[in-house]
Amino acid sequence: MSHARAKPRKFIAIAGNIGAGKTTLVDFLCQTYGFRPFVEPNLLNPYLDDFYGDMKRWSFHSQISFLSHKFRLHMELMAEPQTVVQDRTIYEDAEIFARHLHNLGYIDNRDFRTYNDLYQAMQEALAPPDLLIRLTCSVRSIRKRIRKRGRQNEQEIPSSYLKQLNVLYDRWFDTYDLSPVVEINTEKLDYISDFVDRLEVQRAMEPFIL
Amino acid sequence: MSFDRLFIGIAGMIGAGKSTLAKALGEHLGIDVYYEPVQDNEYLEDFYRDTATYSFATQIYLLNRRFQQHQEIIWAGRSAVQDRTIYEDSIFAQMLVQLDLMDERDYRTYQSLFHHMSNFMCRPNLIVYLDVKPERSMERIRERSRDVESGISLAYLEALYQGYEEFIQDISKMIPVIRVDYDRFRSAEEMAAVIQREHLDHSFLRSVTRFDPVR
Repeated sequence: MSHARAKPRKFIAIAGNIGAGKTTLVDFLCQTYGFRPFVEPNLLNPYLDDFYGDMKRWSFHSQISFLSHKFRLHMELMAEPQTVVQDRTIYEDAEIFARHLHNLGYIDNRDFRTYNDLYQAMQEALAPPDLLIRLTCSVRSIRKRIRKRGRQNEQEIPSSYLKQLNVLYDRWFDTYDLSPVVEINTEKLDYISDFVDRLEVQRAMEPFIL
Repeated sequence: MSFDRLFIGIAGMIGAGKSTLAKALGEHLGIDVYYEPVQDNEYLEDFYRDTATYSFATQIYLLNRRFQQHQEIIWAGRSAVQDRTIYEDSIFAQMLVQLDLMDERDYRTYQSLFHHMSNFMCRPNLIVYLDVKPERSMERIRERSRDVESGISLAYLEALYQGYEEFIQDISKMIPVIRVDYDRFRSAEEMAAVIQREHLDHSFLRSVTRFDPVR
């Protein structure tokens, strides 16, 4: 049933830890190729205040709320007529952030099974990206970047947390098989300023996104 | 769902005889039957013991099970009968809110999730409503004596019945509903035959008007 248009739209997903360089890459892709950034309207998660007050009691609720929101966004994204670039996927919500809360004991086994079953069912219903770009970066460089960009709410994030997230990211990337993956190490972000590095990155991505 | 594919949802209170009728309809019409998975719901015991604490997780759990069943039905691509509609989950949730057993915020979260997921679900083209009064429902619950249901009170069933009545009023504006009084039939098989006849009448109307009132 392929009445393929001349240039079918693509869905590019960018995944990576806090401060791994997602925004920089989104800007680069959109400026270079004229893609559309899929800007996520900030969800006012109604549980967030309670969550910070009592994480054990509210982790499951707030994660369900996030997941539901992400699910809706992914559907909207699938309906976009042109190539879109998403920064932070629904997969990371489940594979990284919810799993982290589970690891810390804030979401018990039963609730995590429920959450995960829901996520699995959603994942099967949703179209995967055409390309997932994996951004990897050491905690030390992430820290430096967080300090440099000075976003207020990020300054207090402990290194141990970033490290735990990095571990979860590695684990997830190892099993991820929904789409092709291109990995970019963003340790120095040279892939944009250095001509040779940039060409290399572009050559790796282009077969999947053009 | 296409014109020729039939997807029947059976609605009715606890102990209304939904699965018995689903089985009979399945056999009578030669279509697939999908049952509500009750036995392995790992929240059910906690839910009946401490409803307020576990209502949200239980509803999310049930919604997901339902969603997965809908996906199965869609992928199978054949006519089917389901022994409980997904809409009834929503009646339960509303009731829990009314009885102060679920808070408003959780209800909103649940409803919006339900709404997003409904994009991937199939709408029945016929609903059979097994109308069983609260007292009768209570008797049936006692008869089958499932442990987890032992805490259900008549007041709860009365509130639930009210919810069902409102739901049937609303949904019948979009989906044809056949209301059946269980006690007026001798057997589920007899009921199935009458429902089939009723449905054929509907189908005939649909084909002459060139307008699918279900959509």
